Parts: sequence; C-alpha cells; structure tokens
Amino acid sequence: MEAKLLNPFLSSFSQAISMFLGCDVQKKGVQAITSLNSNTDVHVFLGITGDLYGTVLLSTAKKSALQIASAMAGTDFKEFDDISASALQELLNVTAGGASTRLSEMGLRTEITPPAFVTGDKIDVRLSLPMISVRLGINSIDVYLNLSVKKRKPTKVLIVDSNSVFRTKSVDIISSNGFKIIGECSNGLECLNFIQSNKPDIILYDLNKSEAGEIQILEQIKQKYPVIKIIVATALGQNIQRAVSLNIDGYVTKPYGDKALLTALKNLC
Amino acid sequence: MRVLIVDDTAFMRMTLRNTLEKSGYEVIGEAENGEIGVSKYFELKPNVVTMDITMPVMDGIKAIKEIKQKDPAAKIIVVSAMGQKELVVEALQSGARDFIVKPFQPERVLEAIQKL
Repeated sequence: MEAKLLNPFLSSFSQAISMFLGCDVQKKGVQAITSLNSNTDVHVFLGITGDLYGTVLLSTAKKSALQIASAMAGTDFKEFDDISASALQELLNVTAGGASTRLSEMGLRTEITPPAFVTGDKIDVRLSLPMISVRLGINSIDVYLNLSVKKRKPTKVLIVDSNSVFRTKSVDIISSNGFKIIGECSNGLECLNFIQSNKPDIILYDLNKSEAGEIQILEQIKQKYPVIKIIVATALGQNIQRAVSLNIDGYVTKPYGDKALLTALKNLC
Repeated sequence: MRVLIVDDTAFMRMTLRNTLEKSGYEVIGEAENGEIGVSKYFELKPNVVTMDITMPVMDGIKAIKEIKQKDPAAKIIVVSAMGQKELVVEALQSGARDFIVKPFQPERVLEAIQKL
C-alpha cells in the first residue's frame, strides 16, 4: 500500500481524536501484518469503494476501547452497549469520512460502508490481509489503525467510431471520469488489428448503417475475445437487435448524453 | 422547535440529542437509517431533520429526496463524516439546507438550526 494513501487516514484519525477526546495522537510504529495484532480483541472495520478499494480496521484491547468510548460519551462504560460500541464505530466512520474528503482533494473518489463492530481475538479478516498496521498512542492507550487499501486499476476503453468529432467527444467524457482510453479506431478492421496487440476491457463501438460488415466484425471480436466487453452505440433499432443477438454487454442509443454513456460503462466495471 | 435525528450510530444520536436538548430544542424522534427516517418524518412531522449520509438500508441522500418529493418545505440539515465537494453539492441539490461535517463543534449544529 502506498504511503500517500496511508497519510489521509492518519491525519483524519488525529483530527477525530483531537475533536472527540481533546488530545494528541503519537505515531509509535508501522509494520506489515498477516494476522491480527496481539492483545487486541475489539475491532471496528469498514469498507472503502470507488477509485480505491479495501478495508480499514481499528483494533485495540477491550479496556482501551471502553476508555475511549467513555471519554467520547462523557460517561464511564464498564461493558459494551449500543452507545459505547457505536462511539467506536463513529470514531472510525469520522476517520474514514475525513480521509475520503482528503482523498477527493487528491482526485480520488471514494465511498465508505457503515462501520461494523466485532469483539474477540479471532475474527476472520483473511480477505483483508496483509495489512499495513500503524500503532498509535492516545495518552497511555494503544490502538492500531490497520489498512489494506489499493488503487483500482482504471478500466481500459477502446473507441471505435468513423466520425472523428464524436470520437473526440467520447474520449473527453470517458477519460475525465476515471477510465483510461487506450486507443481510437475509425472502423471495425482497425479495431481488430488494434486489439491483437493491446487488449481493452471495454470497446465502445459505434455501429453505423453505412459501414458494411461491422456486425460481422463485432461477431468476430466476441468469438475471439470473449473477455472484452462491448458497448454498442447506435441510432438504429434494428442494429441494436442484431447486436444484442451477439450477446453484446451494453448499448447506448444516439444521440446520447454524458450520463447515459457513463452509466453504460460503469455497469460493466 | 421539534427535531428528528437520523443517524445509524446510537452514539451520534445521543450526542446530537444532548447538544440540542441543552439548548432547549425538543428531539421528538430518532431513526437509525434513511428508510425509518422517511417514515418517522411523515409520522412525527418535525420542524427540522438532522440527516447522516452513510447509513445501511437507505442512505441519507435518497432519504432527503424522498422527504422533499412529498414535502418540498421540509427543513433538513446534513450531518456527515464525508465532506467531499461533490457530495455536498448533491445533498444541497437534493434539498438539504446545510451540510455539517463530523466531527463537529456543538455550536456549528446550533447555528445551522438557528439559521432556519
């Protein structure tokens, strides 16, 4: 995991602690872990989705967790109940939410799932491991902020359209929304040649009535490269029916707006 | 002023309730997700709603849209841990009156309600 992805979470955690508890956080160490931190039996975790994906896990010992929750709520919790457990959930929620805001300033769009609270020293986090574990000190309390967050690889898109003006327009819309344009072709034959050496995840394929044999080329692509997904753009109802019979993965009818195109692309990611 | 609090964490509902009640507002209900929030809105008819965004079952943006569709005069303040520009814009376009980012200072919530 890259350090620059870690920092937004650490600074957001410090800010959350400062607001909730009125004290500072000391960074005591960073290490990679493949199993849960020893001596931790209270965990809160949530998922990150969007341009990044992964898990954020806040782990500590029960006594420490109760101390933090008590300080946040201004009461003295002896055991976990709705309020004390959800105080820790809120701490992680605010940490991840703040990180999400900071990441958006770096151009990365992320969303978070509502946090879950679990106790026990044997919870199953196999899917998230290995994680980067940061040991943090809040006065005399030790907590671990564990992260396994990766950048999602941008989906590669190839554009096939005989009209260069429309091609440029599609490139602008698609590339400014987190997709990577790997090429532009003006017809199906060019497309076939292109994908021999450079495979896209998705082809946006403009089906034009005047281009003979385009449907057959689509058929060939589908047979040769079943993994590549195809979105057909066309104004012609009959073409859509023929294309659908080839099991294409999506279509947009022309003229289409930015939103329709992006929805069709995102449906395939 | 009668307030409905919609937030999935009991801790945050308690914090908001304490903040509001100390300043003389009446908290007439709480909901732990957007769906319950929408039904409690029409059942309790509060003057103001505080709405979280990230919640299970139905998120806050969808809940705002559902409330505003049936009651365009509804006064809703978002209180969310997520503060991205796009999200703030979406919430305000959906009909929220204000957007408060958690963790918040109590005065910020009171000021938002007074402004209504």
